[in-house]
Amino acid sequence: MKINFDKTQPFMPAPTQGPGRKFIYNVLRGPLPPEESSRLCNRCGACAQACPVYKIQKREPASPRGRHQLLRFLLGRQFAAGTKKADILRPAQSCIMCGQCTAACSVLAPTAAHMAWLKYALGFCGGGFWRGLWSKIVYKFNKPAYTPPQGAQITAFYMPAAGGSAHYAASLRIIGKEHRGAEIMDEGLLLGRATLMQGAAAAAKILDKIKARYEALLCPQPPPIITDDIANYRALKLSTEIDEKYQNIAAAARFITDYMPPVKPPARTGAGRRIAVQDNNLLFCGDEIARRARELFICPRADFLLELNQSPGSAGLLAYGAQHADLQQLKRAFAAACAARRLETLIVFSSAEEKFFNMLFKSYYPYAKAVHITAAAEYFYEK
Amino acid sequence: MGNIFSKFGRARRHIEKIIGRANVHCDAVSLALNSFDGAPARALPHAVLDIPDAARLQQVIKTLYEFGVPYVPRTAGTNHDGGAVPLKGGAVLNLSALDKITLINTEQGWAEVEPGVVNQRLQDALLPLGFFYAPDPASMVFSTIGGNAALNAGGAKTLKYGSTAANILAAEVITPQGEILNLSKADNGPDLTALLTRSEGTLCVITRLRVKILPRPKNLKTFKAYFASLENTMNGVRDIIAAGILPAALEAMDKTTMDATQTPYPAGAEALLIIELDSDEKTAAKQELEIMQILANNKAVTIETADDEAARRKLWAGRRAAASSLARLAPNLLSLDSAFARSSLPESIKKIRGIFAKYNVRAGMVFHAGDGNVHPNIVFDETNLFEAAQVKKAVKEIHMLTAQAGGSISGEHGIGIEKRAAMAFMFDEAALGLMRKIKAAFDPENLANPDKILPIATRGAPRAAPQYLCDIIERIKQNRAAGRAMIITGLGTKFKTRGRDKAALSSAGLNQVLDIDKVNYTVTAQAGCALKDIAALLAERGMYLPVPAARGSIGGAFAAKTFADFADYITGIDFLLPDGVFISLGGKHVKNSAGYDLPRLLHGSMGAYAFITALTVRTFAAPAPKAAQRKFEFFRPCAQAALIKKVFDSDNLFNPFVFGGAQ
Ligand SMILES: Cc1cc2nc3c(=O)[nH]c(=O)nc-3n(C[C@H](O)[C@H](O)[C@H](O)COP(=O)(O)OP(=O)(O)OC[C@H]3O[C@@H](n4cnc5c(N)ncnc54)[C@H](O)[C@@H]3O)c2cc1C
Ligand code: SF4
Ligand code: SF4
Repeated sequence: MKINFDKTQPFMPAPTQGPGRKFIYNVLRGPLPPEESSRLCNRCGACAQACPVYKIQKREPASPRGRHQLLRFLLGRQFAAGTKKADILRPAQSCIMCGQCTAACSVLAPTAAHMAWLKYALGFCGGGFWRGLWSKIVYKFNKPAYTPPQGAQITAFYMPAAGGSAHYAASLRIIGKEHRGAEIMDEGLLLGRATLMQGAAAAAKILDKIKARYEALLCPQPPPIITDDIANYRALKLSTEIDEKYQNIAAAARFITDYMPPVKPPARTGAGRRIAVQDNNLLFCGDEIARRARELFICPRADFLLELNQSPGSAGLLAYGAQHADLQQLKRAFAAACAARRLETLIVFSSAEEKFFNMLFKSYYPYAKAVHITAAAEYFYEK
Repeated sequence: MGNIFSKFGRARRHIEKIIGRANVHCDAVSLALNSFDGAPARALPHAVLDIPDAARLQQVIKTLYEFGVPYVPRTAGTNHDGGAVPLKGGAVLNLSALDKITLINTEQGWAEVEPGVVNQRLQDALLPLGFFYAPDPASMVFSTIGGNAALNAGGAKTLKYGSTAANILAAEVITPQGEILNLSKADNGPDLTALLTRSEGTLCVITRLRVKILPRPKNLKTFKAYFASLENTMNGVRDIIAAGILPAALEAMDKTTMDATQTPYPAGAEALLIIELDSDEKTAAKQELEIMQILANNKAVTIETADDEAARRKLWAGRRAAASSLARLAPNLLSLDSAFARSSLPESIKKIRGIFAKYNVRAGMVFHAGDGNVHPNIVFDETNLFEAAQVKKAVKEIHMLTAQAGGSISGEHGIGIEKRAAMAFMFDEAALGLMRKIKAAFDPENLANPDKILPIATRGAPRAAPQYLCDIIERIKQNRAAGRAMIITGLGTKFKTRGRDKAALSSAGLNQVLDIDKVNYTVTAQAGCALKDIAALLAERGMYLPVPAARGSIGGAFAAKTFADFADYITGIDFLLPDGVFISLGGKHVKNSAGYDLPRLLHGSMGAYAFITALTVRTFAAPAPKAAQRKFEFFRPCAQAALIKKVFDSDNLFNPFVFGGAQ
């Protein structure tokens, strides 16, 4: 399998290399998840009780948190010389990639995907030809959550809008508890982090529907999929990493800042213009995105944006804050930029703001249509 | 001798024999993955031991003691303070496999569980029986009862039902020397149960707990009100409490948190308050009207109510998701848990917000508003060094502020590593010295969860004794200088001073009620006040003591453990040591998880440890139910009680007969 991501994409990682490669790191040949993704976890431990493996083994290396931290330490090069590959591989191997941990996790850390990654990166090279071949075979049959469902043992292929509305959170809870993922599929779905549900096979009908919807996206040239939700964006990009098949979707995925006019923000002026920290309601946003956005945005309150963007991992760019004049202005700027480029664009929102956007678009940008993420699937479906 | 690595190397063979080789992990990955818990701190252990059962745990601890290897008990590892981080290295005892609910006794209202039982699992087991276990930390779905007990975890229901310590009836623990102790709160003598279980694993490892279970209230009514300002919210809380209503939960959160949870709320709302009543139908109807009135008076923007389970769950959804929603904003979440007296809450919140603004940190606030417990949840990114430094400064200032306001730096999360230095803001040298000596007495080798809780340095001046104690302190000092033992009595209802060579030290002169506070619903009285007198004074104001007004003084009733659960209602205590040193602990804040539980330790200590001079007690709007008054008996001190006696009173000067001096 080739490394199938575009190095110019801001989000995508470079394969692990550099100092420390004498040790365990020199067997990491495959791509690893980006550091940002490995730092999602805040170690709250909420996932442990959702993990079927942890519930049996009752040890931290068998818990999703442990697995997540393992990757973080690995990317941070915190393991010493002499660390055995087998030891590092063990937590990854014990993960059955059921995705339950992601459903229980507040930041939706994609542990299953990470482990698939790790297995791939570690298993692919080293240990001689036979070992390598074996790993290839294992990897082939041990595909994680992103494999479209097949047969009766998989209940649903669920790609919720990440970033979580209350509805979404509630759905996840139901899935986590009662394995009714498929029922929820019908209401809201798609374009988010994938969570694979295993269990009862009652929902075959819905499965087909989901599959069809997803397959519809697999056309050679899907329309650009723009999202204002970093989690969605990330999930779309990540799916390529797992399976080449989704390359087109991943390539079509754009974060909303990609469409912003490239204007450098003016210098910061006076301290008095800060918006009180307490008043911002923010959208989670990765640091790479924040960095880019900082270059791209023009905003009357550039100092405010700078403030926010200085803390990586968080930025208030396109937040849900319809009440902020500044943010509204940003959105208008975005719409104008779209108009200037005459893009036939579908814009996906995880917040319920499509009304607001469509209103804007009517005057600024007739070529775009804004839809709520739950409706996005329908849109694709019809096309 | 030698370093811990080689010490463990020698112990390893023996430990492998006990728990099996497969349960001893020394590989780099296992060590790295046990180097953290829910807090930012990290430190590598030398080994991770998966403990299969309690019996073998005892042998393991004995072996570790023999070879001088430090260890840290760990269950779910979700605490916010680094308590389960092996700061000194050594062994991590993974107790998650001790997860059996051994017995549920609905007749007598208790359940017996091992420490690794996840809180929610017990709740699930109790549900079909119509019972529940009161402590409900927001982490109840994934934290364990052992961890809850070690940190005295609290939750929404703490206001009414008390935090974990109040819900533990008995415990089986293993001392650092590997001895099994069976402790019970109802035993005569000082309450070692609370001292040991609540010690964050620094004095013992818990192997079994008997917890209180209660019949499920049938009649639940939940209100959710939005306010245009946090101040109105807090005033609402104050009024509800002042009206004598004791809801099962009184939870609030600010706008930042509301935004983070992404549940819709009305425009203009700045804060949200959830009130849950679980009183019987008749009372609830009356209280409902009152609450509606109070909410209206305090300009609530919108009020929603819910009766049935589905609607209730909906109302609670945002609150339950609060911490995790905030976690979504940035990679790191630091959750503080300052506890204030209810009356100082609005002021303190304002100041905390000031601190956020000053250091420009992002944070959402969630409150257990009823009991004055604030969670400033700070979100940041630890890899941004500047930001991390700002957060550190802000946290320090919040701790200082809390201590200055007379609150507790930890209402429910415990101290661990993260708040260790801040302990010095809250306690003076005398109190910290006492705690240090207790730790040293129980664990002279400093092996059980070393270097936690107690700060290295002490700051601040000692608390000055109040004027009215000057005389008594002088007398104590004289007696001590003369080597004369002292017999401490209250109003003399239990026993009288005897013996010619002994001095009498009576609290009869200390008979003032110092403070009655209807906002916080507390009363502070000198130890010699008769319970009857206090009750009478309170009754004039429509307040009631949590225990029946028995004969004798309040100090006497406390020291003699006249009522088994009196200690659950004590929020503050002043006492004098045999060398005349004055110590004042607690205040009017309901919740406290900071440091060792000295107030509970003195409950039932029979004057043999210290001379109690004043108590602050929670009061209620309804008379206490008839509690069984325990028979007065002298206790037969166990070895552990004797250890503590040495800490408090090495010369056996206070009530010497209790610990074997002739009466
Ligand atoms: C999202 C989230 C929400 C939370 N909400 C709350 C809340 O509302 N209220 C609250 O109080 N806390 C809360 N917490 C903090 C945490 O969940 C609690 O402190 C909980 O009690 C920790 O339990 P644990 O099983 O994880 O214990 P651990 O973290 O494993 O251990 C805690 C401490 O106890 C010691 N210990 C563990 N087992 C034993 C034993 N058998 N014997 C002796 N010592 C032992 C450990 O050494 C350590 O010092 C929250 C945490 C998170 C992540
Ligand atoms: S629930 Fe998510 S954030 Fe919490 S420990 Fe698990 S992976 Fe990390
Ligand atoms: S994907 Fe499943 S097995 Fe793997 S860590 Fe998550 S919950 Fe555990």
